[in-house]
Amino acid sequence: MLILIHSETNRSNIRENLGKPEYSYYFVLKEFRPLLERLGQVMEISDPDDLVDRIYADCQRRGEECIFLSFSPPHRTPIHYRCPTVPVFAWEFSVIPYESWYGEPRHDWRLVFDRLGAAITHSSFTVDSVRQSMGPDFPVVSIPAPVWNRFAALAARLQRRPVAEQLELQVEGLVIDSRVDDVGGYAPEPHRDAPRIDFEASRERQKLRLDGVIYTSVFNPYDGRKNWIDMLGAFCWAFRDCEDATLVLKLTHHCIDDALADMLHHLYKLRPYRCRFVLIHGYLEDADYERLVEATSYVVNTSYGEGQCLPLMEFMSCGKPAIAPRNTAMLDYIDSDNAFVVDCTEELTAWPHDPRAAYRTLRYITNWDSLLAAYQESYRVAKEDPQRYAHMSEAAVDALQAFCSMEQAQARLSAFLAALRARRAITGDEPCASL
Amino acid sequence: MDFILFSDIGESAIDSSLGTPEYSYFFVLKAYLPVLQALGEVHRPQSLQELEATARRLRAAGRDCLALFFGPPHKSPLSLACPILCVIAWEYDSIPNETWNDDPCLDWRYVLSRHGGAISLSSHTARAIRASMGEDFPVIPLPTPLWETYASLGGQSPANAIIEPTKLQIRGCILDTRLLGLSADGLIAPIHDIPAVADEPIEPIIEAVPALTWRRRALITRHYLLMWYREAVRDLVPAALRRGLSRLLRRPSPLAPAEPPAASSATVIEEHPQAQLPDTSQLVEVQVEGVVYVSVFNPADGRKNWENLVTAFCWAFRDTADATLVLKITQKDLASYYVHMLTLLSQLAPFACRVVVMHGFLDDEQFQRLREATSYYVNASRCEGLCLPLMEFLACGKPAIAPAHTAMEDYVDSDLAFVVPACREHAVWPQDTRLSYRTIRYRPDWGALKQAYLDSHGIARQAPECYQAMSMAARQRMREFAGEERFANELGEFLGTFLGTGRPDKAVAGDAAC
Repeated sequence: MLILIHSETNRSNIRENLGKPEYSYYFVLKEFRPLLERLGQVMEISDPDDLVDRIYADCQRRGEECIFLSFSPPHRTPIHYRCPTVPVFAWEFSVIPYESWYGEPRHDWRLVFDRLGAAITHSSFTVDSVRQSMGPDFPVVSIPAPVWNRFAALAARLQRRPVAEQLELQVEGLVIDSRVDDVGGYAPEPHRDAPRIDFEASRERQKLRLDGVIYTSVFNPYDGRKNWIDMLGAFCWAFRDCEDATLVLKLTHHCIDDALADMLHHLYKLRPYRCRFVLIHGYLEDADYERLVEATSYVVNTSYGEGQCLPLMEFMSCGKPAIAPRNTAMLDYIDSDNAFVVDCTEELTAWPHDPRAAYRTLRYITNWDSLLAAYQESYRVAKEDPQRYAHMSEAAVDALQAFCSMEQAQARLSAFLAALRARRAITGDEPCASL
Repeated sequence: MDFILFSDIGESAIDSSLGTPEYSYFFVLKAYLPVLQALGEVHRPQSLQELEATARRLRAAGRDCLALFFGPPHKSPLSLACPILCVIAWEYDSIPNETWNDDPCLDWRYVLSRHGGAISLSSHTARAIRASMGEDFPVIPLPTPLWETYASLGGQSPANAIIEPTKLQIRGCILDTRLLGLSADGLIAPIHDIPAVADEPIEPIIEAVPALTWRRRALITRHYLLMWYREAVRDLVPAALRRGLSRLLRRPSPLAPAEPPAASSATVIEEHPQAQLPDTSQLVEVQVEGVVYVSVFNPADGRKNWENLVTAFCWAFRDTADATLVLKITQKDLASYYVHMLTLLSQLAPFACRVVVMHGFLDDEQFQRLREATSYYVNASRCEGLCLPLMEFLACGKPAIAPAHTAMEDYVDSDLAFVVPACREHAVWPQDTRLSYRTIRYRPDWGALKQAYLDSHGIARQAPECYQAMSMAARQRMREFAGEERFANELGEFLGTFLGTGRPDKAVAGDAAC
C-alpha cells in the first residue's frame, strides 16, 4: 500500500511557521511517519493538487492500494480527489463546525466528512464530537501520535527523582530567569523601576542550572487556549514564599516578543515572590531537552482544551507526573494515579477559526483553587512522599503506553483501514474500492 | 445625637454619575438616611470643606455628633472636629495595606487607625478589615436597610413564577432580540479572499459594504473591530494577523487623536460608517411574559461578569422560547456598550429565547413594574460590596440566581437562590495603579450558571410550590437582614462602644484630608 502524506507546514517552512495554527500538524505528521511505514510505503508530497491523483492513477494501473492522509483540519482538506483522502486532524471542542462562511463549504465539517467518508483524530473526546454530528457509526478513529516508545526508552535511561539537584543544561537562545532578570520594566509607566529586557542581546549559548521542585510546561504563548495566566498566577500564589519551586516555560513560537512582554508584565504584577520563573525561548539540543525532561518534577498543563498535547504526552511517557485538567484529549490519559487533576468547568466559546467568533461550542475553564491546591499538594509529595511520586511516575508511563504507544497505534490504524476496506467493499464506493 | 453624612456625589450630581463607583455610595447613604433621621438630627454637607465646617460648628455648639463618610477610606478626611467613620463597600478579600504614589492614605490602615473604627456593608469586608487592623478593631457590618421600602411593594401573597404579559415602560430605548434580527453572519462582510484580511483588514470590509443597513453601520467600524477583537478573537486568530489588527485598531483616528474609540463616536462618523444609536429621549415600552430573568448593572463594571450572564442564558435557552432575560442598564452612555452588546448577541444568534436591554431612566413606579414582572434576579458577579439591586428584588419576593461569595455570603443561600459555585482568582485592588495582584476575587462557574438557569426554569414551570417557598424565603431573609430595626439596634450598640471607651482620641493636629 502506498500512503501519501502532506501537511501545509513542512520541513522547509517549519521555522517560520512555528507556533502558527497549523504548525503542530507537521509535528504530528513526523510522529505518524514511522507508524505508517509499518503499514506501507510512505511518500510525503509537497503539492497534493498536482501529485495525489497522478500517483493514485499510477497505483491503480499497478493494482496497488493508495490512500492520501492529509494532516490538516477538515476545512483545509481537499475533497475533490479521486484518491481516497482521510484527514488526520486535532480538535478540542465539544461541537464540530456545522456552519460555513466566506463561501467555503468545507467550513461545515459535516460536508467534508460526508464526502470523504472517514477521518482520523487523536482522542476519544473528538471521536465523540464527530459522531454527535455524523452519527454513531461514522468511521472516525482516535490515534494519538505514537510518542510513547521513544520517550519511555528515555525514561529508562534518566533518573526519575522528584527533586532536581544541580541539573545543568545548555540553551541556545533567550533565557529569562526571575532570579537574574528584573521585570520592573514591565510595570505601568509611572511605576517602571528597571529597563526592559533586551530580547536580542542574550541569545548566545548559555548554561541553565535547575534545583528543587521543577514544574515544566512547553507551549506556544500566543495560543490563548493554553491559559498561561492561570498557570503562572496560581504558581506564584502557591509558592510566593518557597524558594525551591521553579516553573520552567519552554516557549515555542518563531517570534515571541509580544507574548513575552505580556508574560513579563504578569510576572511583574505577581511580585513579590521567592519562587523562580524561567522562560526559555530557544533551541535545545536533544541532549539538553533530555536534561530538561530529567530535571522536571512535574509537567504542567492548564489548557482550556487539547487535541492531544504532544509535550504533555512526551513528559508523561518519560515518567513525569502531571498537573493537568481532565478535559478533551486529556480525558484519555490523565487520572488521579498519574496526575494532580485540576478541576475545570465548561464555558461557551467560538470555533477557533470562525471569523464571526460565533458562540457555538464549549471549552473548559480552569478552577483556580484546584490548580493552586494541585501545586501545593504536588510540592508536598515531591518533598515528603517519594513513594507516591514513584508510583505516579510509573502510572504515567503505563497510562501513556496504553494511550500512545506505537503498538497501540498500529493495531488501531490497521483495524481502521481494514474496516474501511470492508465497508467500501460492501458499499462499493468507486473512489475507495482500491483501498 | 447629630449625624453628618457625606458622599462624594450629592443629590444634584447623581443623574450625571449614573454607573460610577461613587454612585452606589450615594444610594447607600440614601438608604441609611431615614434610620439615622429617626436616631438624631442629620446634616448633609455638599463638599469636604462644608463637612469640616459642619463638624467644627456642631462641636463648638457642644453637640454630640458623628460624621459618616460614604466612600473608600483613601478619599476620606483623616480626622474632623468630631469622630468620623467610613461606611465602606468593598468586594475583595483584603484591604489595601501598602502604599504607592507616595500617598500614605492609599494604605487604608493609615486612615482607619486614625478613625478608630469603620462600618462595612458586609461580613466579608469586616473580615478583610480585621485581617489588616487586628481582630479587636471596631468594625461592624451594617447592610443597607431597605426592607421597609419594599415590604409593601412586594405584595403579601407569594409571587408567581410565570409572568403574565406585562408592559414595561422606560424613558430611553429598548433593544429586543426578537426585533433586531441578529445573525452571526452579519458580523463579517462577504469577503471571499480570506488571506486579504491579514494584509488589509479594514479597507476590503468597507469597500465590500453594499448598503448601510443599521447592522453594517453598527458593525463596520474601527470601534466595533476593536471590541470584537478584544472580546472574542484575540486568542483565536493567528499571531501575524493579530499583530496587524492590533496595530490597525489601536492606531489613533486622525480626526480624533486624543480620544479613546468609545468616546469619539461622533467624530468617527465622518471617517467610517458608525453605529447609529437609537433615540433615547422617548418613552418606549416592551411587553414581557413567561419566565423572566432580570439583572441590573453597568456594563462598564468588569466585576459584573455580565457577558457570562448573557452567554449562559442564551446557551441554556437556545431552544426555549418562553425564557426572557431583561438587562436594565445603569449606564448613561449608550455608545459605551451598544456595539459590544449587539456584537455579543449576534455571536450568540440564533436563539429561541429573548434578551431585552432597557437603557434609560426608570421612575419608581416603572422600576416596581419591572420587579413585579420578574421571575428571577440574576447575578454572576466576580465580587460584590453588597449588591443593592439583588437585595431589592429579593425583598420583593423574587428568588435569585447568584453566587454566595463576598457580600452575598451574608444573604444568599439555597433557600432563596440557585447558588452558583465560584472558585477564587487573584485580582488587583481597583485603585492600585501599579496593577499588582494583591487580592482575591471570584470566578463563577459558567457550567453551573447555565445549569442554574435550566433548573430555575424547571422550578418555575413545574414546581410552583417550590418557587413560592423560595419567594417567601427571599422576603423573610430581607426582613431579617435588611430591616430598619435591626440596623438601628446594631448601629446603636456599635456606636455606644465606639464613642464610649473603644475609640482612641484621634484629633491629630495638622492632618489634612486624603
